[in-house]
Order: sequence, then C-alpha cells, then structure tokens
Amino acid sequence: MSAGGPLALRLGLAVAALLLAALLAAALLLADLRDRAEAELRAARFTYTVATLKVSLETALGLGLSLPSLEGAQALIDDELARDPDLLSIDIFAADGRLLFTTDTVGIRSRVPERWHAALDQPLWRVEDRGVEALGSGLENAFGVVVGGIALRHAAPTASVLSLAPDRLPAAALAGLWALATLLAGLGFVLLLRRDEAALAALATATGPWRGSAVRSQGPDADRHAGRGAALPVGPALAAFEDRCRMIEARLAAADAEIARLDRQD
Amino acid sequence: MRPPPLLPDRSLPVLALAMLAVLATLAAAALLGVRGIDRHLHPALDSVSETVGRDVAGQASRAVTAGVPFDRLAGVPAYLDTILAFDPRIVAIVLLRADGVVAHARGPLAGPAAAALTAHPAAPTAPLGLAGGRAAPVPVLAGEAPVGQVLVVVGPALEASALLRFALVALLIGLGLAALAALSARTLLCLTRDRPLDGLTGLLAETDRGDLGRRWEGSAPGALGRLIARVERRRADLAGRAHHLTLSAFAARAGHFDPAPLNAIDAAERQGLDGLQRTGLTDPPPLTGDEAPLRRAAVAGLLLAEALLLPLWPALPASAAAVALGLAALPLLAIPFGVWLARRVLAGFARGLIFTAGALIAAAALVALGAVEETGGRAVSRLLTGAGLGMALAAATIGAPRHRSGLFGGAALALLAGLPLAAALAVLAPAALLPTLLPGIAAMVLAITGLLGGLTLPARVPAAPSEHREPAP
Repeated sequence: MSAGGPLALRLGLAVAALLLAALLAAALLLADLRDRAEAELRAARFTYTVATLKVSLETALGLGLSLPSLEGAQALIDDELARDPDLLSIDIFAADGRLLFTTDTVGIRSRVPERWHAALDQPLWRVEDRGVEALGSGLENAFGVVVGGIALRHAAPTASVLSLAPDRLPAAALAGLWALATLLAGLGFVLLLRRDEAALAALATATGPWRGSAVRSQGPDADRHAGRGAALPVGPALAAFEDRCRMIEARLAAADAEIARLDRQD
Repeated sequence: MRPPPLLPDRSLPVLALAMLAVLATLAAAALLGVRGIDRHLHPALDSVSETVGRDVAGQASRAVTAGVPFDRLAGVPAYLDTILAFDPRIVAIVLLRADGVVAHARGPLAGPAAAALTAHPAAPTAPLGLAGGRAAPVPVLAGEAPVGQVLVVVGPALEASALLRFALVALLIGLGLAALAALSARTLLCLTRDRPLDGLTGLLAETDRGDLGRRWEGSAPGALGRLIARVERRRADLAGRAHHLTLSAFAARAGHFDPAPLNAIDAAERQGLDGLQRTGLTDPPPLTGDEAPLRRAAVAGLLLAEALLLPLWPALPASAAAVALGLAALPLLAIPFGVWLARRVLAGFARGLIFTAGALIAAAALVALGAVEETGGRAVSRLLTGAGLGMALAAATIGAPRHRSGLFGGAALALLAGLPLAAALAVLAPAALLPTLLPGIAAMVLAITGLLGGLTLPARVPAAPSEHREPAP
C-alpha cells in the first residue's frame, strides 16, 4: 500500500465505519423481521389451538349441556397443555368471570382477570400482561348465547431488537462480510488513487532536496521520476514553476555578483 | 479566472465506489440474513404443522379406530378445506397411507407436495421441507397401530408483505447510508486533496506573480504533502536569496558617499528584485480552499435527514397519493421561500453566515420534528426545515464555481426528488417499524450533518488580489 496510502486509508476507514453502521442496521432489521415472523407463527399456532378447543367445547354445549357440567373439559385442556410445552395455562371460565376449569395447579385464582371477561364479546381476543400473553375466545351455546370463555396463556415472545444472540443471527457471516467489503473497498480506493499518488510521489522525488537545482537538471533518474508525473497537469505546472524559480535565481545571482563587483571596485 | 486543476477529478469514481460498497454490503447482508431467518424459523413452522396435523390426525384416528378403513374416510376433502381456510399459511394437507402412498391431498400446493412425497423413497419420519414450506409428519393410529400419516405443509416462513416491508426499510436505510458514505468521501477528498491542491495552485500562482513571502498553512497527507513542502522550501530558498541580496546591497552602500556607485548598487538591487513583490510576514494567508463542496455536502445531509424523518408524520389518512403529496409539499414549498430570503432579504450578509444560519435552523427544526407529537408542531417544524434548507442551499450554490457544482447539485436534486419517494415509502410501509428505527438514524445523520456544517464555517478571509500589493523597490 505504498501509493495511495493515506487518502485511500482514510477513505477506507470512513467506509468501514459506515459499513459497520449498515450491518448494524441490517442486524436490527433482521432481528425485528425474525421476531415478528416468529411471533406471528406462534400466534397462528395458539390461535388454532384455541379454535380447536372452542369447537370441541361448543359441540358439547350444542347438545344442551351446561359449561360447568362438561366433565371432559378438564382432561381436554390438560391434554392440550401436556402436548405443547410453550403453553403456561389454559382456563375455561363462566360468563360472569368465575373460573370453571384450569390447568393452573397452584389454584389461587377463583376468577379470571376483568380484561378477559370484558373481551368475551370479541370472536378472538388478546391481552398482554407483564410478558405473558392471553389468547382467548367466547363460548356460545346452540342459541348463540355467550355462556363463558376459554383463555390460553403463553409467554409473549420478546420482540426487542436487543435480543440478538450469535446463534440466532449469522453474526460471524456478517462480520466476515464486513471484513470482506472493507477490504474490497479499500483496494478499490487504492487502485483508483494509485496513479495520481504515484505521479505525485514521483514528482516529489524528482524535485529532490531542491537546493537551487531544477527538476530537469538532476540526471536521468530525476527525469524518469518526473516523466511519470508529466502526464498529469501538475507536471507542466511544476516545470513552469521551476523555470520561474530558475529565472529568479539567475537574476538574484547576477545582481548579487554585480553588487559584489561594485563593492570591490571601490 | 480559475487556473486549471492540477490533478484529474476522481470524485465521481471514489463517491460511486463508496456508495456501491455500502449498498452492496447491505444487500448481501439482507440476503444472508433472510436466508438465516428462514432456516431459524423451521422449528416454529414445524410446531404449527404439528399442532394442526395432530388435530387432523386425531379426527382420522377416531374414525379409523371406530372401524372405518383409512382409504374410505368420508368427507375428508371438505374437512381439509375447512382447515385450509383457517390460515393462508397452510398451503397443503396430505394424508399418506402406511406404505407411503398419498391417500388425500388438498390445498393450493397439494400437487407439488404430493409429487414430492411420491418421489420420496419412504414415508417421512421427521419434519421436512415440502413445496416451499415445512411439514411435520403426525401418525394416524387405529388403536395403537399406525395406519397412515398426516402432513400439514406450512409456509413460507416469511410472508411476502413482511419481506416487502423489510426490503423497503432496508432500501431507505441503505440509500441514507450510501449518501452518508458519499458525503464522507467528498469531505475527505475536499480536506486531503482539493484544499491542498488549491494551496499548491496558489503557491505556484504566487511564485508566478513574484510573491515569495506567503505560506500555505494547511497540511496534506502523503506525496501531495511532500510535494507542497518541497515547493514551499524552494520558495523559502528563493526568498532567502532575495533577502540576502537586499542585505548585500545595504552592506555595499555602507561607506560609499559618491552618488554614482550608490546609484549603481541601487540599480543592481532593483534589477535583481525585478518582478518580486515585498510582502510582510504578518499578512494573512491568501490561499483558501473552495468550501462550496462541503456546504453542499451539509445541505445534502440535511435533505437526507428530512427525507428520513418524513415517515414520522402522524396517522396517514386518505389516499396514498394525496398523503405523499401533502407530506412532500410542506418542505418543498418552504425551500423556495428560504432561497428567496437568502438571495433578496439577506443579500448583504456573508454567504457563510447565511449558510450557517440556514443549516442551524434546518437542523433545529429536524430535531423538533422528531420530538413533537402534535400535527401543528410538526407542520411548523417542516416549514422551518424547508426554509432553513432553502437558505443553506442558496448560500451553498450562489456564485459557486461551476466545475464542482454538478455532482452535489445533482445530489441535492436527487434528494429533493427523494422526499416524495420517502413519503411514498412511508405510505407503503405503515407498520410500526419505521417510526421506531428512524429517530436513531436521523440522529446519526444530524450528528454527521452537524460535523460537516462545522467544517464549512468560513475560518479565513479571502485574500485581496496580488495585483494590488506593494511592488518591489
């Protein structure tokens, strides 16, 4: 990285920082996309479970049985809970909010939360409370009267974009991509600026220490170096500058000699 | 008249490379990530498939256990259709006999799923990919004996609408970051190449005019810096010789009282210093870089921030076109007002002052836009943003040299055109994703814009033309 070093390096660093920002933004967007898709799939699964339980219970209610008298209800929800490890509890409750059947073995509740009770008129409702989502539906008898409801609780998926884990996002692949893109961009900048920087370096070398001597008077090596930069506009401009300097130098030397001669004359 | 540039302008390829690197990397990351997410969601799809399949298999198992042969289950297609209607992600349901032969298949992708299963050497025992989705086999039991399988195909993992929203937001962020990359590259080029080259041009021109007393106070990295240092040393060497001549003449005059040699010495000194100008060491540096690109970069950054903040508009009613027009109209209407203000009312003020004032007004209004919730407050913020942008735009472009205005003029116009585009994006992506991410991005843009704005503050007074300086004796 001789030619095009500093500027290409600065450009490469700037682009590397922005690539990092781009990949961070991509990671955040991807995490959001993943969490949303995962949440939707979970919701679809639990919605189906609620719908299945609702159909089973309403079939029995359609036969004229009352909700508290459904003997198989407890076994039904126990089986469903046993089949799905993501479920926290399943509750069946009466229209007045009284808890009838539950898989909650602690059994400290006698009534369901008021929000569940209030949502009974909706075909499917969702209530989230402290990271736990309740999904439920009303239960109707054969006459279309809401006689109770069923609610299923599960841990709501964490939708935070901060929940990035190496095993959930291709973090190593993103890091590799960043390194590769930075390298390629840096190489691109070096290649783009290489010709100019090489020419400038050649001209800087050709001008040498510049102790009163001209670009074109430093021998064949200087000529060769200067020739690399001569193709760019800076080459002729420096040659004209050197011509002007030599002219000034010659005039100053002549005047100096003349003054010395006049001084010696007397 | 401005001298020709000393090096060819490499801005366009450098800026294009910077933008391309950001956009290509973001696109690659998006593709990579979407594929990773697709794989990551397989277990979730399998769970849905298993949940639905278990229900279907339970119904079939009850019938088979009651004595109905698996091949002669009645009403299966109608029943499967009710299951399919439950969720559009269920694209096929296939019932397999114990020997792996397809007994029933329903759903929009039932054909490909059945064909894939027929080609399968044996009945699947684990979740598998089918017809672009996933399916988990669930056994149908007659008592305890398996007589068949149910496979509910669920997929794809990522819905088209979610992918579209993701793509739109990624595109918006990608465009913003690509613009930032271009601005950063432009700033670096300006600071490390354009300004030093302007300095070198000035040194060469000053030498041509015979002024050896001034220095360029900037710095440049690499070969350009070395070249400028050598040019300055060369000029310093000549200035030293001129000073030496003056001292020699002064010394030679000492002790001479005859006018003839004194006149001869004066004449020799005058001849030696002919064409050289006498400048004091305290004169201000005459060489200033062209700051117009940086000013335009800052304006472009502000426009970008404005475009990114457009989706922060509250609830979007009515038709998309009307909303997009309404959103874009406020800043666009205010920009001409800002331009008029800068050109007419503030015509007597320095260009840099107008630019700084406009940029600060726009930046403050953008911050306020992100902070206020009320529609009225946001409307006022947008009007102020537009007016500030107009002032800054006018100060950045009025009287600027033409040879560098094309790219950033184009960028500014492109970003102006991007305002309605961003509004359209906001309408197309009404999910909560945009408002949650954009304030952070806008803050980042504002920070960089502020940095660029700070760099554009006029720190030097342009030098008077050399022709008016005191000639050498």
